Amino acid sequence: MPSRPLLSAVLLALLLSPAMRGQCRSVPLAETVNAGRIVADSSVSGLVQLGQQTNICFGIEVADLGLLSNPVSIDRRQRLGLRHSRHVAPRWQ
Amino acid sequence: MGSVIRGMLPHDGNNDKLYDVTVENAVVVVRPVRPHVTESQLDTVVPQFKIGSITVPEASLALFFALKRLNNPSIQGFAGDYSNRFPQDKVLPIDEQNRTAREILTKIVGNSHGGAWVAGPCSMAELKTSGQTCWTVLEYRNDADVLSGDVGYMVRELRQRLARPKKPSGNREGAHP
Repeated sequence: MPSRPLLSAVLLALLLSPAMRGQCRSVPLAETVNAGRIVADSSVSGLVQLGQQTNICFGIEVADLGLLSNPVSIDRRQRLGLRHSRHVAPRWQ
Repeated sequence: MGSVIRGMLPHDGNNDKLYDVTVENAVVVVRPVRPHVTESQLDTVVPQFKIGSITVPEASLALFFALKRLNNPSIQGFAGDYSNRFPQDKVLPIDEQNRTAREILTKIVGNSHGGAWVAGPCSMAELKTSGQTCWTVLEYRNDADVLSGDVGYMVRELRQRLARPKKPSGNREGAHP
């Protein structure tokens, strides 16, 4: 049915739109989620970006500069976020 | 999920973890194995914290005021301003007894429409002298560009604070709710 993908896309867009966002998404740490594409110049920035893309909420206590200067890059093509790699790509601060 | 998050966190030279990752009230909490300060504001137990349906910045400030009053009961009131970008977005009411400031902050974010709290060093000495929270609460409702700007500003500020040599007391560490 040609209309089905379009309907799914519309529903997905609605669910992901800010107006439709509900409470924090509860995700067990063992669960796999689609992290999407994340490019950040620090762990903190990467975690917040991940949170905004998935609506997973975070509480982060920063104790050293490492958390503020550890570049992060995750590509959704890497098996739905199961794998990660680190290289410098400071696009999202 | 946990592997993704842990993979984003720094490790020391021996590949030992520097941060613990837990889930509390649907919030993923990342805490240092070795805290930067020995006595943190976030460890303060608040006898009662009760708020109605208010915005995230208001709830964050309510916690800050509670900590200030606990630290100095003679305080009669507070004055200042704050940014309230989404006045229509309220957190669910909270009524908690004998919870730490960290737990309450986590509850505020967990009861919000989605966001994160990020804290730098939160010494008790700072609480006495500073008029600002030692944490920042970010709301995912912001556009990605706006949130990116907020995070960038916060990260730069935290870098400066952490790069400063530790003072025994009275060090001002600024962040906004």
